[in-house]
Amino acid sequence: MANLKTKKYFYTPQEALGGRIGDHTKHQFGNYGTDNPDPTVLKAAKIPTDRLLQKIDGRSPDYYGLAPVVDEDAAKIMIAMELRKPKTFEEILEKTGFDKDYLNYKLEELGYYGVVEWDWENDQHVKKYSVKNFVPGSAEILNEHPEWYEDHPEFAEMFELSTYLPFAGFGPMGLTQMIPEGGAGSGMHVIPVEKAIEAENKSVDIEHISYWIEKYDGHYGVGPCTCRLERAERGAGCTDDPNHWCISMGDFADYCCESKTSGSHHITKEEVYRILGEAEKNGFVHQVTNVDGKDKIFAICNCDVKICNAMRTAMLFNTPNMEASAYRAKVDPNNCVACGRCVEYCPAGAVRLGQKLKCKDGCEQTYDFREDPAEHIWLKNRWNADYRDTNREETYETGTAPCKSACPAHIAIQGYLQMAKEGRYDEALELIKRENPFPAVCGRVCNRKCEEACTRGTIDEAVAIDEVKKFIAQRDLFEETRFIPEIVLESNQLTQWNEKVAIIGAGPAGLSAANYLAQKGYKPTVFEKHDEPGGMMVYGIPSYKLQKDVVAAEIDVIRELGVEIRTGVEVGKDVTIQELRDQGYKAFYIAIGCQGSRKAGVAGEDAEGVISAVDHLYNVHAQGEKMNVGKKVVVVGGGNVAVDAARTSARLGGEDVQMFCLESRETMPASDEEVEETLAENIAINNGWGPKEFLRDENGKVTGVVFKKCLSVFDENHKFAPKYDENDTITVEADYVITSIGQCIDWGGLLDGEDIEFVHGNYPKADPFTYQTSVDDIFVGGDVYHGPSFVVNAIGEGHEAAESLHRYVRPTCDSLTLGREHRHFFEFDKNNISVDSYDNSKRQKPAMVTGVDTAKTFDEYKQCFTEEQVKIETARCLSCGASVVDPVACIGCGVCTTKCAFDAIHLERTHPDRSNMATAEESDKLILLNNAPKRLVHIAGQSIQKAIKNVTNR
Amino acid sequence: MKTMLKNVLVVDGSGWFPYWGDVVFEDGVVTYIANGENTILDQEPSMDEIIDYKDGDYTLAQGWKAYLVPGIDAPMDMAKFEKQLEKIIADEKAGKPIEKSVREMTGFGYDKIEFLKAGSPADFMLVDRKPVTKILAAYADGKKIS
Repeated sequence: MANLKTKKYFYTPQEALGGRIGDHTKHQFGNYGTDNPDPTVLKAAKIPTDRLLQKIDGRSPDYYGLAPVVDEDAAKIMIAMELRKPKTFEEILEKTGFDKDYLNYKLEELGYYGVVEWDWENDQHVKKYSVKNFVPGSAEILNEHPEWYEDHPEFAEMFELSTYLPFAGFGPMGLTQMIPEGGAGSGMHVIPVEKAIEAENKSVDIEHISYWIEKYDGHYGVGPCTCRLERAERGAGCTDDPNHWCISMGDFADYCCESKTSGSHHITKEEVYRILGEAEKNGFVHQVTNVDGKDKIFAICNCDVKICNAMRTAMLFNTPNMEASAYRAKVDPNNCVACGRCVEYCPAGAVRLGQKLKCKDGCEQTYDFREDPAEHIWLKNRWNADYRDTNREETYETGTAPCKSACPAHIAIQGYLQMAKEGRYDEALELIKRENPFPAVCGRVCNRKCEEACTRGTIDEAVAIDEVKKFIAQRDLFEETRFIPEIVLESNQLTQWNEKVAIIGAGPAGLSAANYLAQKGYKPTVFEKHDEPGGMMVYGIPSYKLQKDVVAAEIDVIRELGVEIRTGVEVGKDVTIQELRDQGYKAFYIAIGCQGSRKAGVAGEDAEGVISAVDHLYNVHAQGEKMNVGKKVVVVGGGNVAVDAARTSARLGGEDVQMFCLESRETMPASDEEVEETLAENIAINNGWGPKEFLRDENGKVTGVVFKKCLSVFDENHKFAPKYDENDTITVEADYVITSIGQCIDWGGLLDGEDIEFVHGNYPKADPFTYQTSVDDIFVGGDVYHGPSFVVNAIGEGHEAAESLHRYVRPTCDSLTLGREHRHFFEFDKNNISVDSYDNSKRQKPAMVTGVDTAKTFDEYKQCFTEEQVKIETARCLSCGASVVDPVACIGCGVCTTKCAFDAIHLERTHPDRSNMATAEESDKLILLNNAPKRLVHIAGQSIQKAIKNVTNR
Repeated sequence: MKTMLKNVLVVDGSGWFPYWGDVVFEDGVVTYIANGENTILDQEPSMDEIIDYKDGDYTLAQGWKAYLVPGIDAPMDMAKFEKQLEKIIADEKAGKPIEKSVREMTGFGYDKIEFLKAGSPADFMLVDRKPVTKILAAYADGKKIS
């Protein structure tokens, strides 16, 4: 985690509340209030606040938030009622002396604005009115009406500061660290996911959501989430639907639904459970109110840490004590496979990826956990204003499993290997598809960065990860076994988002983005200029490596999620981006790849029979095996695409196929495996030659190529600057020449009229994290962003782009980055591990199809692993990584347990005192008189002990 | 005929802040008023007509493009609605918010005149907002008169 000690010593409220400083232009504090406040209203404004020893005047949020809805008479009523002292109408009538009807009206009005609530929770069961605290209470009700913000933006600021100022205290020391376990009746409290504590026999009733639901049977309401609304108004919102998350209970539910105060309405018990379930799917945290003592709550919230003001108190002040439940998450390292699902969802950043393997000295890896506020003097320098970002760091500084780290899409490799080992193939496919919608494709063509990094490779050979993936992904090819991911909306009442997103280019990046947008609840439209979707997967990769029906099957899954793919439409020619904007498209993802080819720039390049590799491979797909390349084929280039061009030419009847490239055999860009297979097919590879001239006959048809000796490829700065010996040449006869010396972007008219900035020639300039270009609604990804790369890179980028597009088009979200997963995984030090024992089986190899000439067939000739091979291969995995819980940071919500598919993380009841509930009236006493002195004595005692130890050790 | 006016800002005559929500009326009578977004989503399929007064492209504090103002002098007609509109426009120019303007037209609030609730006649007009300039639609006993 970030070293908090290096942070600023003090935070202003602006900084502390704003998260990333300067990230939100809208997030400015207004100049609200007055220097000449109404004295009666000012007196009333001091009632609902719980700010200790802090000055409240006409410029305080307590005043300016209340003044628009409380006039002098209403203020008199509040003063007569006092704070949280329920009174009957008659009692208030007697104290105020107002006309009966008028008082009735004013109470209704105060109730409408949330300043006064009513209930029947007394022995006589009569209606009693009471003034509530600002938080939880009236500040929230005032923010249930986003329509009021236009005239009263101060309501949002008042709510925000009401959740901050009481805890921030004054001077260099806040108050939160003094709050005892259980929260001392100061706000909200985490209540774990019910399923996570079902097996915990020490649990008490109030720790179970079902207890509260039964207690308030028949009295439930649901309304908008004021945190989500307020944060959105202040420019720090998130993508969630702000409505329908906050469940009111008991008389409070009746008050909310029967007054006109909010968008609340009554719901059934079944609906309560449904909403809780939807919240859990999204990883939202259940919290209950904690201001009314031992056996009363009035709301269950479903909180998103990106915007929740209550959770912020724990995260910002770095003091989980006041929010946390009685439970802590604990990982069972035997079961954990570092898939990262718990990490992804942990709201507190308490679970991160570490390692399971021991260090070289035989010890367990240690981690830099957060400091416990109960053990230290806790000044503002220990706060964490950037909590929404630092909580999203996935990996401990010591690193984690190399395979997941190295994979550009960060697939949970260790996880799916384990599932495959257990025969849980459907679940394995599901797990892979969380990061990769094209596992069957990647199982055939991936460049296998995971295997390069695999720890097992330091012992003998890397685990054959990709072959296992291919085996699992075979299920994706058949309708009856394929996996259709679930669509999860950050809403519990809508079935889809209405915002329209256009994706231009149906290659792996575009389709990956479409896939993950669809899973988030969009119906994106993909525009593809070719007749078939798939991009280079279809038009670039030869079918002996990747059969087209494999691509088609995985695209079918994406279609089934609701993605519309419009083929034969070239954006920039058939329709422009501006026209799509006019049709209502809110954002654009350009992933058109690099479909153009670089020229060698030598004489005769325009001869008939000289073609680029991209065009050649396109023709191979279009014309199939009938295509004629003659007998003598020369391929200029040494990358994987050149290899594909050469090998397809050999299959098309080329008898003398030769490759020529500048680089040496060791440094040529094609992978070793590709080179080996090429040589095995009797294709010659001539290293160290560059084209000097393309020869042609009188009809302009190519007859050969003159090559010159390449002396060096790069200059001293490792820039591409080939040097030749112009006198050392060879001439090679050729019927057909394929140039594969680089691809480039063919923009066509796509960006006409768009103010896109470019770098490195015509590559679009974009943010490397969000992929947003200089035109706000245009995002880019895949080859068009960085040049030719691999399918899996494009898939990973498409996934990230989906998150950016989602954030961009949702009107409640202002930041593309705030509280976003960093997706920064890095491997542990492989020189500092010890592997005690391992399965010593050798790496399995897939069988080849028998009875076919593998050098001539266009059919896939590599078979899948058998199930037995999968068992052997998966057993070779060293299971390097594991999730690790920071025990101080954990808030015991149990969200992690709902995401784990390996039964590897559980809640344990380690802090029973955190279930102590208190009233708001007890709060000051519990904090200042009870816990603060005890805590100080404890810290002082520890300091003395430490000092004595230091002296003794001298 | 079951009509839903969706995402309107209801100025109910009480003088309290306008609230955002949906109004449903049938056979000339208001049958349902909901405050908030999509609160009666599940009932929408049963509507004969839904008119949405929310712009697609909006921020939280904007996007509701119509105030729903009750008619105060049944039986309502267009001339009476236009008279109400004139007062709203004049008041707004003078710095008076619409809720206060309508409160003055309707008389004193709670328990004396409560205009818009389930069971009240569907007499209301929809006016544009920020600034108010014109009547978008007007209904007398549930029948559209403009």
